[in-house]
Amino acid sequence: MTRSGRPRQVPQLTLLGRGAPTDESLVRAHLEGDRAAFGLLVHRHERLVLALVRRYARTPEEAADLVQQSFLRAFAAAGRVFPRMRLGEPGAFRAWLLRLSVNVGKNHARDGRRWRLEPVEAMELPAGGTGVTERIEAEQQKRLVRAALDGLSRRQREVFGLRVDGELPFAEVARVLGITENNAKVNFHHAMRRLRAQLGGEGER
Amino acid sequence: MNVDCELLGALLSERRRGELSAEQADSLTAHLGGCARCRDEAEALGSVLAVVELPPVSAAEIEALRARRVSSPPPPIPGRDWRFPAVLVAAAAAAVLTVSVRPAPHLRREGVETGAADRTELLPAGTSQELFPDLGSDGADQPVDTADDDALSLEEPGLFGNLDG
Repeated sequence: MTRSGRPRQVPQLTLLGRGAPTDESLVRAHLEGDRAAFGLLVHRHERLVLALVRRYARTPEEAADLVQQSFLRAFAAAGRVFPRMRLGEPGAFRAWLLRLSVNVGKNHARDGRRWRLEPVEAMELPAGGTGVTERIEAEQQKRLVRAALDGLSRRQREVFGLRVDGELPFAEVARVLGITENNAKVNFHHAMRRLRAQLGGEGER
Repeated sequence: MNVDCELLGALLSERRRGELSAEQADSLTAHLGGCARCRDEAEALGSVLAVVELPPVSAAEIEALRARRVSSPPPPIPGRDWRFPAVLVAAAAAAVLTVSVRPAPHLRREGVETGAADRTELLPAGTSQELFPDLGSDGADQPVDTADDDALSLEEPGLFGNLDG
């Protein structure tokens, strides 16, 4: 409240205009002190960030932690990065956020313990009943996929994650990674061939 | 449209998601009809795609994520524990300081009195904490931006332009 008793005027960009505000306008609002702006960015992108980082997590809780870490890092860096961001280019914030999230996931996975293939005895499985065999097989399959993904090159892994987990079109994958669309597609093709080789059958050598 | 065999995996992924135009889809089909290598590979890569894809993020997962965000403070950045290196740094610094203030051996042999040496021998355990009170404290384990910090930088000119300009 102000001295005159009227509510303090806080920039309320979030409600301006007919359509939803762009990411870049929310970034500007955040820089101008709109405390709700960053929350809207989180709300808008949390599903995509979760889709990207959950591949690096072993449990839903771990995935949720990675999402939080991604946004915390984004928030912490906002004061340094946002003023230099080219806000005239649509998608600049999203590309930056996705790159950051992929790196948070990669850093998490860098600890080999989280990606190590573990014996069946170490798996959390129900004591009995139906579906145990299926769960074991599903868990083993998941771990084989993780191990195969671990065998990809860094670029292939990034392209794969953004395309398969993030479901981004190749044009946006290329934009996030700062490469050409054709390069993204070729990397994806070789990633798939290598996964094929790792998961059984012929492929990348 | 000519189909590049090196793009087959990407084209199959795009076709799977319905992202190809009718013309592109027809070109791919025609190519697979005439290229035995790609035809064989397409089947295998399609199987791989089916195996590696995760189910879409569910509404329940999003709700759990939001509830968790509200109810629990975030954990530290995983895989980063800077307390241990900070203690090592403090110990190394204390060791260097200790060595530097000891009298030279020839002086000790000759019985030269050095106040510094006396003080060194009287240093109690935990001296490093007294000399470097900030090291090893809670403030020392703050994450330090290192390799992963490239995510926070703006080094991609394609995304954010020349920042120096």
